[in-house]
Amino acid sequence: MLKRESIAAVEDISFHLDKGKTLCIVGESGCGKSVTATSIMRLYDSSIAKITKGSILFNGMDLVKCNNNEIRKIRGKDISMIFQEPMTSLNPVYTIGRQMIEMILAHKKISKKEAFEYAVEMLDKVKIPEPRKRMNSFPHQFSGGMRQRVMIAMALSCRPQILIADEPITALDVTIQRQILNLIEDLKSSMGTSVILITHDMGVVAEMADDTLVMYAGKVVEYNNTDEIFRNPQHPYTRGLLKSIPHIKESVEMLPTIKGTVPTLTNMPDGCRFSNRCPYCFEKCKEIDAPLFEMNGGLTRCWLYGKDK
Amino acid sequence: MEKQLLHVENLRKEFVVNKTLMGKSLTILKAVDGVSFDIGKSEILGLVGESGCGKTTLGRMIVQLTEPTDGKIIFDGEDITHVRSSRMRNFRKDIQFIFQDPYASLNPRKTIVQAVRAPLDAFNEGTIPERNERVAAMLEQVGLSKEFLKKYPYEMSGGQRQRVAIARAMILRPKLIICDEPVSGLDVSVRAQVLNLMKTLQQNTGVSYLFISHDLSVTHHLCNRIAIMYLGKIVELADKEDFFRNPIHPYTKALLSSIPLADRDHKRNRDSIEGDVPSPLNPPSGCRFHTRCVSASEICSCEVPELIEILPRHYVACHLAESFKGGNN
Repeated sequence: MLKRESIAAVEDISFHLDKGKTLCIVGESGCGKSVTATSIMRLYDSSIAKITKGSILFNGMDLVKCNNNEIRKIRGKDISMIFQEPMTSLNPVYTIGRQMIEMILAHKKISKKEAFEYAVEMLDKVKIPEPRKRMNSFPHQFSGGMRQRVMIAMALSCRPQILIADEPITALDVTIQRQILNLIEDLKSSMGTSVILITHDMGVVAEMADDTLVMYAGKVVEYNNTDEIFRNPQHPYTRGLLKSIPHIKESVEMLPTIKGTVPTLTNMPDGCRFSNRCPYCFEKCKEIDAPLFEMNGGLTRCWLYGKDK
Repeated sequence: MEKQLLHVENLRKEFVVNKTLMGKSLTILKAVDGVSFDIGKSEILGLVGESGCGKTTLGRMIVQLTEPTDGKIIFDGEDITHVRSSRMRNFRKDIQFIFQDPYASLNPRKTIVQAVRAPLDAFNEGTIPERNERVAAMLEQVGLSKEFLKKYPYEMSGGQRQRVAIARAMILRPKLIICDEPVSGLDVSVRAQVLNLMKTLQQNTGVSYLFISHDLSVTHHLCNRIAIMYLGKIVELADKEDFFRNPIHPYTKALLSSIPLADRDHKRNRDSIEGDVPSPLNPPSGCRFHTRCVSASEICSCEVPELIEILPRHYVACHLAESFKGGNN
């Protein structure tokens, strides 16, 4: 028998999301941002993964304690999700219309005909041209941007209270990215939906987020309102990340970098997980991981801000 | 301008799609439709465009991975458009390629030393120990220590693999490297490292790059000149400073305002251009951008605009370029 070891993909993540606000979870690949989001919806494979600790309170109800039936009622209705590659989340052998109607009927007690009309209305809302005609189209007949619009229409058709968007524009072209960002922003304000936006792009964070959660190697390293994150970043990782982005408004000879690479989950440094790449690292960082310290009205996981260095 | 290294003239590539069994009713996809530009010695030209605009096909034609339908490629004073086999071998030394996904371009069963030495082996340069020495020196230049020599690609991270790909492209001391989205698959913190490395190597060796990318901020950091492609044609070509200070083509402006800037104080412009990129199988008549252009007038839908020098060293393909020249941004 193979011996199986369990590893913690994310640890000790805490945040809250207010009504009508946007929270961005930002980090590099493998930092656990998608795991965090899919855990809220419990979309992980329960045969190999589980939430071992913690709670997810949604309007006072703990989603961790919900059974599968209860969570199914919430999924898609109160909390819905869109993904990076819309082609993999749409069924290629059914028409867009059929998939939308199926989703609407699962949560609403209306007739099929009403559901059809409602689906057309939703497609129109996300600015699909000729929505009635497009109901009979298959996913492959849509462009990437249009597919993402369809995903957004489906996700918002039950007027969810939370929309989780996992890298929704990463696979799209620049001009289409702009359209989708505008669309999310418009729908958010007209429907009052709260948004959890997962991204690796600091530009998207600057545009969309009210609050920002910076993740590194499975942990939150900084959590604050977005203005503070950009004007006054506290954690050395956040600072390094912001500095290493090339900017079209200023020219620099060489970009400031963060040395080394992100550690893998099986090979984490002892102590602070950023310690082997951190320019400010001292003895304590290599021994014990820092807790979250309150700084600037937010939280920062760094010993630099501990009282007793 | 420095001495010319590569001159591309009216280059075209048509792909035949949808061929029937009888060979009838062909649909022709014009991936690259009459593109001309130069790259000087030690120059970095950025080629930017959205997916399907033909930027990769253009790069592949220069390294002869795809045969052009029409046009000329002149490299270092010699026409290499239709040079084949043995004579092309000499040029292969001088023109190298770096791909987007380093994992796909490295043989998983070869160690790093084998991968980077392969070009030297192919051209029989020096004895085996000499080659190994050159490989070690090259790897050190790209920031990989000796311990990587015996490793396999799967043991390395994406950034390290891209360093290997860069080392392999550089080891024959080429004059031109076509870099096709070399940093697009990398994380932000690693991307900065690789960009710096590419810049340092360029400054040390004087190699020229054709840097293909969809990311304007990355090209801004690295390139001397920037060309924008839309549906198989270059719509704007200018020196970097001029390009960002005074963009003229409406598509360029739209691209620039579409980039989400990592700057909270930036006054955000939510203008977006409507619609999708049209299918290259059935491109719009006249100016190919007119279906999405906010300033389009009648002439735009019937006549194809030429790429003309509207300001010194600033080329634009737009009927209305003259009226945008003043710089109303």
